[in-house]
Amino acid sequence: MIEIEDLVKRYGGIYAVRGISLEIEDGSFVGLVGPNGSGKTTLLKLIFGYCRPSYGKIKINGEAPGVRTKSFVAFFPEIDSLYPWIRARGIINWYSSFFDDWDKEKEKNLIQVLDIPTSRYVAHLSKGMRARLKLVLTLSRNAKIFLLDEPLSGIDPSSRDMIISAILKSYREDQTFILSTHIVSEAEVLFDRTIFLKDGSVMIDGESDELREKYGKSINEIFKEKLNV
Amino acid sequence: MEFDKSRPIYLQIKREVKERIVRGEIKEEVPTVRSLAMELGVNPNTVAKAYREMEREDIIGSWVGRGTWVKDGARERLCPDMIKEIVDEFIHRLVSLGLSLDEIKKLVEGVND
Amino acid sequence: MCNLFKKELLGDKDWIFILCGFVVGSNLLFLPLARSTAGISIFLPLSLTLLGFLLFVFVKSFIIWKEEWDQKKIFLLLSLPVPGYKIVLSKLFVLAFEIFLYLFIALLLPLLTYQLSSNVSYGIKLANFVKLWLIGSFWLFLILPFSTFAYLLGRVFSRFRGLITTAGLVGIIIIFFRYIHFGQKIFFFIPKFSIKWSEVGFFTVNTPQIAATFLFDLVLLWASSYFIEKAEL
Repeated sequence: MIEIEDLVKRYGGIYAVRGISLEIEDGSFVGLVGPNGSGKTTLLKLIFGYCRPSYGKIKINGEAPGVRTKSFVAFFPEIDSLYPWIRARGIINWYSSFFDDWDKEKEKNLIQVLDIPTSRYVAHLSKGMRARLKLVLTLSRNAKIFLLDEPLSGIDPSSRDMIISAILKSYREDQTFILSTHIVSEAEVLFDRTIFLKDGSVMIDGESDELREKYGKSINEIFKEKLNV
Repeated sequence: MEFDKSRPIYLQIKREVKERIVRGEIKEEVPTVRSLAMELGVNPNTVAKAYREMEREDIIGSWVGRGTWVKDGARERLCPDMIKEIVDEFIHRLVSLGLSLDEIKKLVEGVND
Repeated sequence: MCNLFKKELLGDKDWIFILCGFVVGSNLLFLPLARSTAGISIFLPLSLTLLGFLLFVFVKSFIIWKEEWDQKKIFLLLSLPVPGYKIVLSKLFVLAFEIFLYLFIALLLPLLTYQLSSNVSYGIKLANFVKLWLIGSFWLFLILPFSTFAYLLGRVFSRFRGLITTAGLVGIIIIFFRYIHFGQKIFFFIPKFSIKWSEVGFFTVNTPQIAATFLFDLVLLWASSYFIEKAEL
């Protein structure tokens, strides 16, 4: 379970996250939606421990984010974090050696489904391929919590379905997924809960189906209407 | 299957499963939550919610270790419900267009084949 | 740990080749000189190499982190469930290994050319050469964690990083020179020892000073490990 209490993250005078309180139950698939600069990435980074709150608290299964929580939390960064001087196969083998929860079977399936040319150097992969390779590194683990930061942005629309289906296939009901995106329409069927962020605060938070019922609209339409994007 | 994303997905899944039961595509054993979720391309939790409601409605039942099954007589009970549901919706839409019940009756009687 | 080490080594291999070539080249440049005036020429490349590496260690111990951060590769490294000290040590070990490699070449090559150039007796000059090499190496390894400490200190904060890093580096150097005087007094109980070199050469190793600097480095490493776990990405 992830417990977030009065979370604030400030960079100088600029607030990236301003007073968020949330509880995320084990086994939920949460969509974190909001326009660029709404604080999605900062929130995920804070949960993973890439940065620390200015105020407030985060607890993951009772622990503050840190080295220990990284053994059961997986993070997919939006930025290009792979070393260019290594082959795809090499970086998978290297990265996997650090994790007790690495699943060889999942790795094999993902490489196949996401169509990764494993013998090529990372430097010679296209941007989309590198993003898919990062997805292999993230999803091949049997982690308890997965934080996916914008896995659909920068991906051409034809590969999006491939990625959504890979994420869906790897999701197990006892795992928690938090997926941030500003491309809502394709991904909304994944979310059982959707959190709308704007200017670093939670604007709407609820079960996706209840929101559909309440507003009589799709999550994407609510997103466009409420967040003016 | 394409979902209407402006209505609750779990209701649409419920309807889909019920239709499959009525059509006889699901006879006894109901697909597992996971396999149906993968087939429909939705979150398994949403399918699980649909199944929970259908269990409450006594349409399906699950037994530990034996999977999920269609309850005896569920199909027979579903048939009239579903017909009523379709007729209601049909009438409701026409009424909302401004037709009266008599006009609808005439329309239906006038349909051949 | 071994895999972390391997990654740093592979990632830096181009640099290692270039710098090895540089050390070999700068030594060979003095080869003609060695034939005529062996005694002086043997010091020249070594002093230059040591001076160059003094700067190199400072810059490189900073760059290894800055590169990782600027190119955003730190996201991958810090996604590993690995304690901070392992990440710090793996990078510094590779740097230490590199320095060792360069120093080894800088020692071996002049000795070889010296041997080959003529049948001049080594005498006191060779002992002094080895002495200079030892002292130089000692200081090179000593300053290894300095700029790493300063860079990671800056990374803990989300603002004024450049300022904090610069202040950290200057501060740590000042503190070191203040500390080392009484630091070596703490370790007075460790006996100094002398090395006698063949007929003439003779010099004393200040073991308390080495112990005191080693302690200082340990503190810097410990702090750096703490900083990287608290770093802001």
